[in-house]
Amino acid sequence: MIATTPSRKTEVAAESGDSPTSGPLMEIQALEVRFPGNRGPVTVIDQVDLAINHGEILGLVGESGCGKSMLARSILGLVPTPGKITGGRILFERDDLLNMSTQAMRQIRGDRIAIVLQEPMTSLDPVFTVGNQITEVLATHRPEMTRHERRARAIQMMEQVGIQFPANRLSQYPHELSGGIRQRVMIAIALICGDVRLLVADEPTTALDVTIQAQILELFVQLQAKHSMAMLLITHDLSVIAQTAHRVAVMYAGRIVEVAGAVPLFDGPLHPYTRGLMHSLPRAGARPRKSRMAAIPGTVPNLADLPPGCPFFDRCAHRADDLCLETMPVLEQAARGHWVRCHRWRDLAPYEPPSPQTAAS
Amino acid sequence: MLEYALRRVLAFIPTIFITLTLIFFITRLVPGSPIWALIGHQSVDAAQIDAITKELGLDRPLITQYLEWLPRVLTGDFGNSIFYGRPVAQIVADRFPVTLYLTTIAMIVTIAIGMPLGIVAAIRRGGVTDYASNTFSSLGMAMPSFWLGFLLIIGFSVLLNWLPSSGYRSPDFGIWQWLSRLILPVIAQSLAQIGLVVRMTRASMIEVLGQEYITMARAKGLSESRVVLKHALKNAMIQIVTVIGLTFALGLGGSVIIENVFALPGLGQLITIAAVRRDYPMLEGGIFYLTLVALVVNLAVDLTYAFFNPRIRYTG
Repeated sequence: MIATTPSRKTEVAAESGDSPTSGPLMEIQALEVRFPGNRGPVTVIDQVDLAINHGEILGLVGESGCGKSMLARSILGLVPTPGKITGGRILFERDDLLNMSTQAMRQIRGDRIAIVLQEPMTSLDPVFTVGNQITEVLATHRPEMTRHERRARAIQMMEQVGIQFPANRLSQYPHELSGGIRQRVMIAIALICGDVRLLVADEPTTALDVTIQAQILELFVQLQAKHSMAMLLITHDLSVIAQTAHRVAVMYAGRIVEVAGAVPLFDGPLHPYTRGLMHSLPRAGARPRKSRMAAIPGTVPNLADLPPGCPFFDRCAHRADDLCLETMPVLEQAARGHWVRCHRWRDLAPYEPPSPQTAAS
Repeated sequence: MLEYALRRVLAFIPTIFITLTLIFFITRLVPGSPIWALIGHQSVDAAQIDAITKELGLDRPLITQYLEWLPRVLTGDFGNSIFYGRPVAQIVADRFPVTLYLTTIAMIVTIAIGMPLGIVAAIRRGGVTDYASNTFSSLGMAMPSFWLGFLLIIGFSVLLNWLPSSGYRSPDFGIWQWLSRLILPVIAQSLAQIGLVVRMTRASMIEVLGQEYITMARAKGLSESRVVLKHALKNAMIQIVTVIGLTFALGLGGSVIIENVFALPGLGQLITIAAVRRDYPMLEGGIFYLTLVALVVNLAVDLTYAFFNPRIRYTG
């Protein structure tokens, strides 16, 4: 059951204007995902509008459970049961993915839209060789290729993602590889078809050692440019976003609360939640030794029990009582390409980056 | 892989040794004596009983008997049956095919029905197929197989007159003569086993289908049948083969009951009679060969396990 919203314009349409073709690569409109709960359905993705432009890295940040992974899975049509997409559209190169046949969707998955998941150990099948798992993508999407060609292509792709001795690796099993290599294998799987338009990376570095994280991130940026593909980089780590993303979307409790270019967002975040996130970034050497790390007070609200108004109300330092409590703010354009879902963004003091004084509490 | 296989095979040796020891002491420590069954209702005096006891070698201490018995048995010689007067090995060889046919065919039927049913139940969890297969497997497991055997005889032999109610013909009499007498025993035997395989298949498939690599397989654009039958099934097989091995071993035990219900002259029936008569050599030989099959099947399962699970090929 898909409710289309004809009257609704995509609020967060592409604003960059430098895309090679007209219109964004992907346009998510009023997306809604629900899970059955004990007391009626729980909406985990609520009226999400988001556009991804050709060739850009769009960072998606938010706390665990805010719906960012669910958004990634919705894009691939892989919402885990018993969850369901109950509304909205996902336009990819003008076609609505939600109206597509399973067959058509399957042809896009792994070929033009690919995903890299968080945990490379659990997302590789333990009982098949690496070679088998890489080449099966080609066997699915490029049936005309011979076994020999597939193998050659796999070796070439493994070299491209920085795996040494690729020919030997092909016959190895995932448990024989290190975390970093496994994630490189995942990237090779994602890019093997050579036609990826959108790469969804769901916390791709979270499970890795810090030193490996930087390498993998760099690999992503390098491959993104090389294949001129768009990338949706999902993370809870703002520093990852700061290093890589062109634009950033911030999610909270199943909704987009702020979208902006990376520079404007880091220089002048408007939403109190985004500001809180920025303040909770640890800064080496910038704090007195005894100070505590800044944190956003409170916890993420229970999605089954959201207040009618702003979901951030309980934790917000800038709330205005009645309005914020009772009315859900809409996503408003504060500046060109900078959208924010807050009643009070106009009233807030200009953003000051955290200094040793403000970070200390 | 070779090292793993070798280790499994080597572990076989102590198992055989322990099995033999247990068989010997359990059969001999059970109260009673083959002599009472041997003499039946004839009136005999104490001197005659002593003579027979001596002749059978049962007058010596148990441990002496054991030490004499073990090396002989290890060469495959269980001696002569007290009642049949023929070598145990020969009698077992006559009876074994019946039991093997029954248990093997029942196992094939169990796998052929149980696994697909479990897979479908896992995919359509909470659906009609799931409930139906759940009911079916519960019923199968709950019904005693001897009772089910009688029901089948009443239904298919007595009322419908489609199949013979009991007895056995070797395949030399023709395939139908042979098979028609195995159909009902196989049904009775498999129904008890299917439930186990269905449940295990369902549970491990559900567990595997929730894994990230299954999401990943779908994200690659693989068809649902490849996701389920290639990625999910091979992972689930690691647990399923274990249960299949276990079920086979249980089935060998269950054959004792089924063979008695359907009057099949198999090893199970032989063991029952030997136990009643305290025919020690026959009993020991019969149990040993039945156990040996179970052990070999479990060894085979262990080796298959390595095929499905690359992780244990190295650690073992």
